[in-house]
Order: sequence, then structure tokens, then C-alpha cells
Amino acid sequence: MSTSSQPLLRVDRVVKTYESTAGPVHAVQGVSLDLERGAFAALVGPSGCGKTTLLNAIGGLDRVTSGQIWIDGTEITALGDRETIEFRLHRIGFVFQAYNLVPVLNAWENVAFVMELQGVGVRDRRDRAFELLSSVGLAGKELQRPAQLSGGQQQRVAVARALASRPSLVLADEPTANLDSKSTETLLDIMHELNRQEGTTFLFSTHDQRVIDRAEQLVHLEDGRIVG
Amino acid sequence: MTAVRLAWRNLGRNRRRSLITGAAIAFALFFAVILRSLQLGVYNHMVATVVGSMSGYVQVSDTAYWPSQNLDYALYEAPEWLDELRADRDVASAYPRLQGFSLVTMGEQSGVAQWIGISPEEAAAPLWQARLASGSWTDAPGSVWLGKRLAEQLRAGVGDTVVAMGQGFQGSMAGASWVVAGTLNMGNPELEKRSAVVGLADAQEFAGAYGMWSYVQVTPRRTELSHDPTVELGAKHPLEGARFLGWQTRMPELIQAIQADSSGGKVILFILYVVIGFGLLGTMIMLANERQREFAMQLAMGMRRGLLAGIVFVEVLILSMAGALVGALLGRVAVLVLDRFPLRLQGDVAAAMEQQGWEPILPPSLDASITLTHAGIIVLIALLAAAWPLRTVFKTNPVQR
Ligand SMILES: Nc1ncnc2c1ncn2[C@@H]1O[C@H](COP(=O)(O)OP(=O)(O)OP(=O)(O)O)[C@@H](O)[C@H]1O
Ligand SMILES: [Mg+2]
Repeated sequence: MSTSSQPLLRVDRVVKTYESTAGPVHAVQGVSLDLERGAFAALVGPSGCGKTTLLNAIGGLDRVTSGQIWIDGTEITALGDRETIEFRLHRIGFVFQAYNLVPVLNAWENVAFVMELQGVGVRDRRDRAFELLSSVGLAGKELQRPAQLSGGQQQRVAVARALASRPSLVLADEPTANLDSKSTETLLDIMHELNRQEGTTFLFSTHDQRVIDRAEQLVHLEDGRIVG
Repeated sequence: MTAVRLAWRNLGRNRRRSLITGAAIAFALFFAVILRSLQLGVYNHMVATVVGSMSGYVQVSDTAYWPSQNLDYALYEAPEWLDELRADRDVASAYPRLQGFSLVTMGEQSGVAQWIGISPEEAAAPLWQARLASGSWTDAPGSVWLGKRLAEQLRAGVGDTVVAMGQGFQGSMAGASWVVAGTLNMGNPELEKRSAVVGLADAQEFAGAYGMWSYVQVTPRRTELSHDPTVELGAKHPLEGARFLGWQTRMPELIQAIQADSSGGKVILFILYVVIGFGLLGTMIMLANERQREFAMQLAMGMRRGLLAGIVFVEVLILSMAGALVGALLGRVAVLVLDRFPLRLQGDVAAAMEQQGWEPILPPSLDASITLTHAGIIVLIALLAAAWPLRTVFKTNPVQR
């Protein structure tokens, strides 16, 4: 079903309402947006505007209340639990703000982790993991455990891992929130480079001006709605 | 990375906690094994003293012999069957006997005796050899060995002649005169007051029960309480008109006393396990809380919950099995040491036990099933405690906050 004329990501009138003890919270209120293949886009807006909620919905980590999401021609909002996991495993890469890595695995094993879940053989995993680590500037750090890496280096491992399965879409929720300016620049350079070289589509959320400046496409969110 | 490898590495991430948890499991098992081995060992010792040498762990007798133990319900000798029984590798010994009651007199003195005809092989066994208080064992026909107290009562010494009279087989008269060849320490005052041991052939002649046995006393190779081979032996070596009876059937009071006492020990162990169980649960809750975010991340990556749960399960399994292995080994070593150098009772208790013919020691049971059972229990408790982190795995959403 995948055709090049279609956008890679289509979000159509997505609503997400949380039921909390204090009553319903309308976190996302009818958001529609399209991302072309190869986009390098940022979801921006003040804290609490619904960025994480929207990214989780797009990544299939959380169910939407209503609306539809297509990725690469697949309507993921229509998939069952098992299929969603499969889809996530093969088609989406994640970078989180923190707690990205398995602490007991070293850098290359963390990168290879997703590939292992996909059933890639050990030799191929290793080769690809080393290659990816060197592309994020971590050649020589393959055997270090997360605790032996700086925060910026850990995020770079997370980016390498997100790309390991050659996903159509990489979702990054405030990937630079815990990083200083220099590490942020490096990470952005790396993501941008990978975006250009491999044509991987990136969508990240942020309220960091340095990130906003580098994004090629901005989606402004306020109170769960797209503005501007 | 297989689940096992990840589990193994997870154990290493908080090495001190893993060590302490493993040590707690090892200690609990060590303690349980020693406690239970000593307790069951005392029962074994008791049973060995009460039945082991006399009435026997297993008796093969005429189906009507018990409970009257009447001489008339004797068995016909079955030497081929006996050879076959003795050849069984689960049988340590099997001795035919003929026994009954009679009056024994010497001069003015008299007493009631239980005469026991034992075969030459049985008399040659170390047990009987060790019982000799005076005199010697001889093959000479017409010899009798009297319980020490019976000999005192009759004022009979080695070389004296005693006369025995009583009822023989199927209403016949039984009478004989026997020469005292020795006196015996029976290890039990009651037995010492009434035992008169003679050769099997003499006994048969005395009672007119030629070619007959009252019963065959069988000692199995394994005599632990947990193992009752009676039914199995009976099935393997059937004898027409006879049945196999274990001491448990013949002396229900003894087994009841043991069971009552044993429950006390079980209560202590139960308390120990409850304490250890809650300790393990606490560790598991900590582990689950520590890792919840990691679980969420792994689930988001596309890891299946089953695999994640498998890792946690294997982790707890390795930890508890390692702890159990150490505890089992240490417990086993301690039990072997206690077997070699048994705890010896002192004072009044010891004196009272000796009176009853028991050696005042606490020999441990060497039954390996004690170790296995309790190792199993403790591993199971650890796995039950692991239910908490497993629950966490299944409750965690792949959403990060
Ligand atoms: N599980 C939940 N239950 C109830 N309300 C929730 C839940 N998760 C988020 N919310 C609410 O939904 C709204 C959007 O939250 P969200 O985390 O998506 O914001 P955000 O834009 O990512 O904020 P930040 O920049 O601080 O990360 C907020 O008002 C938040 O309180
Ligand atoms: Mg957020």
C-alpha cells in the first residue's frame, strides 16, 4: 500500500483524553498533521501541551481516544496489541529523554538489542552496531557500559539503536533535555546527518530553542491543538 | 543475548544485594537441613533401637501371625525364597526365627522367658556378637544365652543348666534343658529380663515345630523414615500364605509418637520459611521498583512481556538455585560431620536414655531427600516472591514519564 506520493506519517483528527480522578484531561484535541518521507521535524510547545502524548500515540505506545494514524501506509491505530508491538519493533525507532539504555548491556549490545529481538544473526548485529556507533562518533566506545558514558554519549548510543532496525520513522521525545549545549549540537549534527544520508524521517519534541532552530519543519502545539 | 545472559548480568548489577539474598537462602536451607536431619535422625535412632534388631523393620510371617504372634501360625521353611530375598540389593539382611514363651527354671528360681531361636548366620552378625555380656557364642546344640537380668534372676552363670517348659507347636508339650553359654546386654531392661536366645534348630526341636519359622526378620538396605520398602519387597518376593509387615503397621503407637513430635519441628521450619519468604519479597519489590522504567523502555523497544518476565524469572531462579546449592552443600557437610561426631547428650536425659537401652546420642539422618525437599521448598518460595516483579512486568506500560 506504500506509495511515494503518500506522506510517511499521517495523523488525522487524533484525540487523546486521559481519565483521571480529577476528571477527564484533554491532552490532545483533534490534531491532524502530515510528515513527508525524510522530514526532520520538531513538535514544539509549552510544557503540558501534549507533545509526549502525541508522540506516544504515533509510536503505538498508547491508544488514541479517537482519530487515525498511518505510518508508511499502515493504519497503526487499527492494529491489535501484538501487531502494534511487531510494527514498533520493525518500523519505529525511539529515543527518550532518559533511561534509554539497558544498564547491563554495553554500547554495542544496546544497539544490537533491537536487532536481536528482530531475529538478526549475531555477526550481522555486531557489524551493524559497530558501524552505527562509529557513525554517531562513538568508535572505540563499543564495549563501555552506559554508566561509563556521558549523558550525551548515552543519547548518541540511543540514536544509533533507534536506527539499528532501519526504521521508517524515528521518534525522539526531548532527546536533548538532559544535555548541555555542546552535546546538544553534536547530537543534532549526528541526527541531521543520518537523516540526510539514510533518508530516515525524524520527529522530535522539544522546547529547546537550539533544537527548534535546527528543525526543518515545526509543528506548534498548544493545549493539545496545532496552532499557527 | 539470551534471557539467561541478561538474567546473569542483572544479578551482577547489584552484587552485594545478590550475595546477601543468596546467602539468606543458603543459610535458611543450611539451618533447615541440620534441624530436620537431627530430628529425623533421632527418630531413626529410636526406631533402630526399638525395632531394628529385635522385631525387625520388616517381618515376613503367616497372614494370621499378627497380632497374636501365636506359635501355631508358623511358616514352613522356604530356603530358596529366603536366598532370593537375601540376594535382593535392597535387602541388608534376612533372618528366620522361631519364637514363643516358656517358663525357665534353675533350681528354686524361675522366670518367664521369651525364647528366640536364631539362625547361626544371625548369631554371627556383629549385632549379636556385641551383645555378649559374658560367655561366648558356640555352635554346640543345647546352648542358651540369657538376657542379663534373667540370668541374675535365675542366679544362672555360664555353664549352668536351665530347664525350659511351655506349650509347643499345635498343643504339644515343649520341654528342654539348655546349658547357659553366655549372657546378653539387650540394650533394653525389659528385653534383658525376659530374653532367652537359642539356636534355631534347638528352638524347632523344643517346640516340636520342625522345619518351621515364626517369621523372617528383614532389614532393608535403607532404613530412613521416608522410605518404607515393605510393599515393594512383598511384591518382588511373594511367599504363599505369608505377608510382609513393616514396623509402621506393627507398631502404630511408635509412628504416631514420631509424627506428633515431628510436627513441632515442622512448625519451627514453617516460621523460618515465612521470615525468609518476607525477606525475599522485600528484595523483589525493591528490584521491581528499581527496574520499572527500564521495563517500560524495553517494552517500548518492542520486547515482548513474556521475554522480559522470563529474564526476571531466570534471574531469581539462578539466584535461588545458587543459594540453595551452597546451603545444601554446607548442610550436607554439617550432617556428615555430625554423623561422624554425633552430639552426645549429658546428664539426666542421657542417663534415662541409657536406662532404656538407647545410646544417648543425636545421630543425624543421612537421608538425602531431606536436603532435596527443603532445597525445593526454598527455591519455590523465592519463585513465589518473584511473582511481584513479574506482576510489575505485566503491569508496566511502555509509556515513559
Ligand atoms: N496518564 C495521564 N493521566 C492523566 N493526565 C495525563 C497523563 N499523561 C499526561 N497527562 C496530561 O496530559 C497533558 C499533556 O501531557 P504531555 O505529557 O503530553 O505534555 P508534554 O507536552 O509532553 O509536556 P512536557 O513538555 O512537560 O513534557 C498534561 O496536562 C498532562 O498533565
Ligand atoms: Mg513530555
